[in-house]
Parts: sequence; structure tokens; C-alpha cells
Amino acid sequence: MAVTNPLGIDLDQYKFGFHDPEDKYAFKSRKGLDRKIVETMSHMKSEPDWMRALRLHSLGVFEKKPNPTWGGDVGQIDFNDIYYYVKPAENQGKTWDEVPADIKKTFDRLGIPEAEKKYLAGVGAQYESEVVYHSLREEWTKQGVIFLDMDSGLREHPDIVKEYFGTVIPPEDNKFSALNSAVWSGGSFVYVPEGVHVTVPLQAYFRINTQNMGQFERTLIIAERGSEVHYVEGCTAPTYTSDSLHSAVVEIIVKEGARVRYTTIQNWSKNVYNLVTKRAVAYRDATMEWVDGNLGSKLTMKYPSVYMLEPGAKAEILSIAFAGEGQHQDPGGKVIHAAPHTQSSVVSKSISKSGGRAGYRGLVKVYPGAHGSKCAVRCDALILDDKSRSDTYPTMEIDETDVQVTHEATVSKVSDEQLFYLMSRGINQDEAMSLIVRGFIEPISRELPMEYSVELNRLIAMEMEGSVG
Amino acid sequence: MSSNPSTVTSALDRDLVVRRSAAAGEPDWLREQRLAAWDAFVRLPLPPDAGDEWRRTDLKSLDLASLRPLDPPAQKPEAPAGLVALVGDPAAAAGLRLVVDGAAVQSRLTPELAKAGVVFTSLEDAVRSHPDLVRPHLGSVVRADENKYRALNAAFWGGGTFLYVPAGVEVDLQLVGGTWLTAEGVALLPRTLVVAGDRARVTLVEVFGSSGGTARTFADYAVELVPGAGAQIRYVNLEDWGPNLWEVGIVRALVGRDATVNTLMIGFGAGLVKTNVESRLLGEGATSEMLGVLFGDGAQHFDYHTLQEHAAPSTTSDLLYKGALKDKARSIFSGLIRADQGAQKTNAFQLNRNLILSEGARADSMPKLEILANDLRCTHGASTSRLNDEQIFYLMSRGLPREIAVRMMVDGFFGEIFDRIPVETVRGWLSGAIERKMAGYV
Amino acid sequence: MSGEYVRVARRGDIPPGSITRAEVAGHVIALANVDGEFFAIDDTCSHEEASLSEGGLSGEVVVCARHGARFNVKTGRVLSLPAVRSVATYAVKVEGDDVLVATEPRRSAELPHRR
Repeated sequence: MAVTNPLGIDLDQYKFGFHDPEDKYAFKSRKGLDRKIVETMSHMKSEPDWMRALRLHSLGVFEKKPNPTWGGDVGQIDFNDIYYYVKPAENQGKTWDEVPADIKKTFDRLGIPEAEKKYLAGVGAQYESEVVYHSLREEWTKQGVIFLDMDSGLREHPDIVKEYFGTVIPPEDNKFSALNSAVWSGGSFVYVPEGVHVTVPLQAYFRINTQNMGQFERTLIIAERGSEVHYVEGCTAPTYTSDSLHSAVVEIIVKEGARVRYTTIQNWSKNVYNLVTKRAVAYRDATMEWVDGNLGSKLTMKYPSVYMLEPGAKAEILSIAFAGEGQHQDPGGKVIHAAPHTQSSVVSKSISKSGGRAGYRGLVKVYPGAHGSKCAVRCDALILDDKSRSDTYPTMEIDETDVQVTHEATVSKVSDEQLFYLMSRGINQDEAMSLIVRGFIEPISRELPMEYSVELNRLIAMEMEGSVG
Repeated sequence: MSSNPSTVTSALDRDLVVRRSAAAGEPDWLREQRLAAWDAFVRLPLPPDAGDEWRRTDLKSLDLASLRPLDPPAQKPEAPAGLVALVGDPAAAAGLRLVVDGAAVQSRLTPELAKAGVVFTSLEDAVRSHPDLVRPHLGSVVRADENKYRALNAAFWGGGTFLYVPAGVEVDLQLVGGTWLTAEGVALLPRTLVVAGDRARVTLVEVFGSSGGTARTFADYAVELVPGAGAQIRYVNLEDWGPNLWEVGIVRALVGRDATVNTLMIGFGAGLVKTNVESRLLGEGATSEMLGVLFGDGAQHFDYHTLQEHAAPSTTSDLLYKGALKDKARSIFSGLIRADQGAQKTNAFQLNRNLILSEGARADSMPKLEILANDLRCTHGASTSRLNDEQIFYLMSRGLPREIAVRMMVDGFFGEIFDRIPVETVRGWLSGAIERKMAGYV
Repeated sequence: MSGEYVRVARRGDIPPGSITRAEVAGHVIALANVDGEFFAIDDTCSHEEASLSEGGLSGEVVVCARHGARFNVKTGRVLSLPAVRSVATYAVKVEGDDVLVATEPRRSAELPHRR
């Protein structure tokens, strides 16, 4: 089914502004955002007209939309102080010596191998998993699985991208999806054909290119009927970047009987605004699972969502948030029941310490006609000292009588009895705190790939050092 | 709404504030307070620009400029049958005041209580007779500049109620205030102030109703509750307004050291209700119990916004709001538990349960937490459900007609609240009101 | 009553590529001119009840101004989230200079993506 104008963007309105971008190199290294930058970017990527038009349209939307007045404080973001296309060669020539000391120390403590350290710090070049990646790539090609960076996906499979891009998160959805739609670069394109089960998790860092830690990643995942795939991105190790804004968009379509799990662990450095729009559509008997770990960043606003559009669709959202000094984690999740006999479950565990602020912000929406649906939301917060803060902002809009929707939340501190018990068994206070916190998040951390949960446990141990509950 | 309301067509202007105050012979300090409130009214924005809490209830069609504040009638009216029914058995009240269209038509108080120093009178009278009791508190719990509606009430309130209980005096039997409106197309602005001395104890039941009609009518009220240290105030607000009336109200308590406030809101009438119920626990050992029961039918719209604020250590709050909705009624519950820094050893609970009885009815629930203390117990929960088919079937298989079986289940749903209402007349009214709302439902 | 039409506008009132709000028998509709052909859908976005006629029309796609939900004005089909329900359509006929719209809506159950 050919889709000529899926997003209703008038191509004529966005004809190419100039034909010979002679100063394209100047644009590359210029900060700030305007029409010329977007046009140049699109031209340099050799994109089809409809994508350029979409970018320019989105730029207009971004400029008109005001900042959100809820959630975290995004008023400090200076949109003119960002490189939207290619950063100047700041990463080339950067040496290991220039990486901040506390980052290096964390790497050591976590036992990160030398090569990976450099990669994460933006210093190194290739990563050793290149070899592993190649053999997996052959397997996927045989099955018809497409796993590319988004730029390549658009280039090699324009028809598929055109059919779905922006249909789950349109540019006008919010200010940051508009920004991403205008300047996106990098991210993943995943297409799993009918009936194919991808047994090995697809990992973001398998896509070897310099866009891996891009600020404006755009990911599109399409799981055809009966297929299964697990996508994993991010890492528990602190990810150092001088970029102050990370605004990604992830769109996922899970068709009949298919299953997709998307796992994210982010530990961005404490200067980063992490504002992400992630949304999935689940069709008949399809299952979508979001596993979301938010450890770093100065401010994270992220509400993975699942729209259940046909009977039997299922959604699960597991969210962990950790907020230390100077951090504000505002994660959550949205589940929309738009068909009968749909089920969802949201479990959120948040921890705040040393003045950090962690929370949960969510929506359960049940449309008329979604009878026989069930939803259970459970938010637990652990506040480790009297300087820290926890917020819970759930909204329930229920428009159907034959449903079961429940919401429960608790807020607590580490109990003195628990601590005493562990310490009386010879475990010192820091270790005891660490054990208790790990137990608190266990229902979610056990769903993480093993290497992540191992690193997560080590991170918690580090954070608990010197923290008296 | 223009920011310059002194147009020819407007019913509200600064002069009106001055004239009404003069006509009532009010002291200067009160007139000044009203004028300051008027300035705030002019200045403050109308929702939805007034903030996020006003987003879900559309008050745009309420034209404040065209609603005249009710003038007290020239002659004392009779107490309508509807009011009498709302009030219940008068013998069950230690004090009773009936106010119709802003005029007091009945006012009595048991002599023993009067001798003990209890004051139960109109707020207008109390301003003159007991200024030392009224002036320190009036407008201090609910301030005029909080939003446009509070400012409107502070500028134009009339037909108000004042209750004072001296330190150490414990009143077992409830005092009852009944307010009724026969007119339509007007604004009724009652205000209530309850002050209880240290270790005093009193129950005030306020009932509200109107004769109905077709013209949009508006009730904008404020209730201020001030218990002293170790005192207890139990406050019941029962509204069964006519369907053409829209209510915007606030009940707020400042709860000091070891004091207790129990509020019960009963929402059965009105076309639209947008009311805040708030407890600010400011002293160590303060306790607040907040109960709410609503039943919407037709196209009724209820929007309750509650606050349990813990601003001191070792404070307790316990909220339970239950609502049943049928036809195309809609309810919104937005409840915030806030524990400030230092509010250690807080115990806070909040539960919102909704029962949907018809397709097309809808309950939105937003139970929120903002916690800045960490040594506390805090839980909240919300659920929306419908009648359990299996249970209905079971009851019917025991020979009960469906209508009765359903009635029993709805009673069961509200049972939890009934168990916590110690005022017999209120329980009696509630039972009858539920039956009336359920009539014909299968 | 099926088969009833109401005169809503004159052809010249709605130039090609524009969409405007109108009322038909108590329904608020959005009337669009797509290359000279007229189509009518519910004006209320199925997401958060914004007015679709305040959005942009490009070809046969209307974009809701609030969050970008898209609908096909010919079929009412929802084309993008955050809307999840298609909107009703109303039959349109043109007689001379008059544009008439049917009083009875037709509902579509179509969803955004192909299965």
C-alpha cells in the first residue's frame, strides 16, 4: 500500500531553500538552530524530499510550542547553545587525561574493561565487539531481520520508514518530539518479519558509528505478526558527554501476536537534560514491555507508553529511578486501553538520596468500549535521608464500567529494624544499605540482562557508601 | 471576563462592596478587608488560566459579572420543606440555625451551652458582638488572594455562620446549620468560621439546598476551621443543591498541636461542584480525618481537590473518598499528600474508590504524593470498578429481585463510610438519599 | 432519519485546501475541500477533544493542532497517534452552488497501521 502523504505535510511548502550549500562546513560547526541548518543536514544525508519537508515542518512546530509547565525545570536549556548537526571535532584528539576524575574512578570500581572505558568516555575509536557484531549480522540477514542505524534505514528502506515514521509520535506531540523530528540523527531502525523470533537481544552499541551517543536519536521498531525481539540500549556505566540535551524519540509498532521488549539503562552525566518520548502501539494479542532504568542525568523526563488498540493486547512497564544530589528523575509510564480485554501492569521503584528528587508520573486511560480490561499500577518510593524528595503523580481516566483499575503507592525509608538485623549478622552499614536497596528494586532488576544487573548492583554499592539512612 | 468589571451591565463593582458593608453596619476593619478582597478579585485570572487544578472542570460558561450577590430579603421567609427535610430531627441538635436566602429564620442554642460560653450565631452578628474572637481568624485560613473565587467570597460573603467553643468545653451533641436558597440566577456566598479553644470539642453539621429552577445559580463558599491545641472539630458539609446550581467551595483546617479535625463532605446535588477540602497539620501530634461521599447521576459533574499537608512531625492524616456514578455523571478526584521537610514520623493514608453504575459515567482519579521527609508511613490507593456480576447473581439466586440485590451492593460499597459517621441524622439522610438516587436502577 | 441532508455552505465559501467548522443537526463537523471535492468529518478530535477545523489540511489529511493526531478526511480513519479512534464521517453532496451534509454520521473502526 503506497503511502504518498502519510503525515499530511505539504511538500510544496518546504521546497529546497538553496541549491549550493557552499558553506556547509561552516554550518557543521555552528551552534544554534534554524532552517538552513536543517536543510543542510538533510541535504548532507541525501534524504528524500518528504523527510526534508517533515524536518522543516517540525522546526516550525518546535519554534511555536512553549516549554512544558509541569515536570522538571527545562527553563535553563539554551537551545541556541547546542550543535545540532555535527559537533566540531571535540572528540577527536581528546585524550584520556581530559576525562573527569570521578568518571575514571567509577569505571575502575565497576571493572569496566580498558577499551570500553575509552569508548564510553568518547575517547576511543572502535570497540571490540565488532567481531561479535559481524557474525550476528549474518544470522539476522538470513532471517530477514533489518537492524541498521536510522540514517541507513531511511536510505535503504525508504518505503517502510515512510509508512510508519511519525505515526506513533507525530512532531506536534510535544516540544521535544518536534525538536527531534527536525534534527534527528542516528538511533536504530529495526524491522522483524512475520514469525521471526530474534533470540539474541539487539544492542544499541552494536551499531558502530559515531552517532552512538547522539543527542537526537530517532528509533523505529516494527515487529510484524508473531515476531519477537528484545532491544537493549544504554549502559549502567556513567556516560560522560558535554552535550547538555539528550532528546530522543522511540516509536514501536507491535503487530498481532508479536512481542517486543525494550530495555534502557541510562546513566548520563549530571549535566544532561534527558527528555525522551517513547511510545509503542500494540495490536491484537501483542505484548509490549518497557524496562526503564534512570540513574544519571540532571533531569530526566520520560514516560514510556503503550497504546493497546486491539483485544488481547498487553503492556508492561517497569521503571527504576535513582536520584542523588542535584538530580531530578521524573519518569513514569502511560497505558492507554482502547480495546476490550487488554491488560497492563506498571511497577515503579524510585530511590532518592542526598537531596535528590525522584518520582513517578503516569496515566492510565481507558476508552469507552475497552470492557474486560485490567490495569494495576504499583509505585514504591524509598527516601534515604531527610534532604531528599519523592513525588507521585498518577492520573486515572476511566471511561468504561467493566474494568479493573487499581493504583497503589507507598513511600518509606529504610527501616531501622531491617538495618539492625543485617548489621547484627556482621554486615557493615554500607553493605546493609546496599542489600536493602537491591532488594527494593529486585522485582525490576531481575528483568534486566545479566551484565546490566551485575553492574547495577555494583553501582548501588558505590552510591550507598557513606550514606546513613 | 474583562479586567474592568465596572461596566454598566456588570452586577459587581467596588461600590457594591461599600454599599453592602455600610447597609450591614459593618466595622471599618471588615469593610477594608472586603475592599482588599475586591482588588484581588479584579486582579486574579479566571480558570483555566488560574492553574493546573482547574483544567478538568469547565467553568467558562459561568459569567461571574452577571451574577448578583444575593441581597437579604426584606421579610423573613419561611423555612421551606426541603430545608426541613435536609436538617432532620431538630431535637437531635444542641443548636440549630436556619438561613434562607441569606436571612436567619431560626436560631437557637441549648441554654447550658450558651452559659458555658459557646457562641453559635450569624457571622455578620459575631463581627459586631465578638470581634475579638472573629477578627484574628476571619480570612486567615482561607485568604482572599488565593484565587478569584476566594476573593469573590471574601468581598461579598453574607448569610454566614460563626461557631465558638471556649477552652475545655466539650459539646457532645451536634450543632446544625441549614442554608437554603429559593432564588435562581444569583450568587450565594456563605462563609463559616469555627474556632475551638484548647481541648474543646464540637461537631458542626452544615446542610445546603436550593429550590432549583432553570437559571444558572452560583454558590461560592469558604469554611475556616481553627481548633486550638488538643481540640477537636468535627465538620460535616452536606450539599443537595438543585441541578441548576454550580458550587465552588473550600473547607480548610489549620490543625495545631495535638488537635484533631474530622471533615465529611457529602455531595449529592448541584449540576457542578468544584470544591477543595484541605487540612494543614501545623503542630506536632495533629490529626486529620477526611471523608467524602458522592453520588452523581444525570449529567452531574463533581471535582474534589483535597490536600493533606504534613508540616510538623508526628502528624496523622487519613482520607477516604467514595463515589458512585450513574447515567452520564462524571467525577474527578485529585488528592495530594504533602510531607514537608522535617515532617518525620508522619502517617498519611489516602484511598479513593469509585463505583461506576452506567456506561457513559466516568471517574478520574489523581492521587498525588510530594514527600520531602523520609521517616514516615505513607500509602495511597485508587480504584474504579463496577458492580460484581457474580455477587449480583448470587443474591438473585437467593430470591432477591435484581433491583434489591444491586441496592444492597451499593449500600455495601458505602458501608465503610457509614461506619465512620457518628452523627445519626446524617446517616439517616444519606441512606435515604442513596435510595432515591438508586430508584429505578437495575 | 437516514437520507436527510442539510445545506451547510456555499461552494465558494470553502476554497480548495481549506477546512472549516459547521454544525449539522446538533453535530459539530469539519468540512474540507480537497481539490474541489468536499468531505465532512466530526470536528472533535478523538484524542483530547480539540477542534480539528483549527488544524492544518494537506491533501486529504487533517492534522490536529494540539498534539498532531492525523485523520483522513475522506474516510475518517485515524492515521497517527495520539488519537486511537477514527472519527465519524458525514456524506456530502453538492447541488449547484450548495454544499449539503448528511445528518447521520457513519463510524469507521479503522486503526492507524496496516495489520
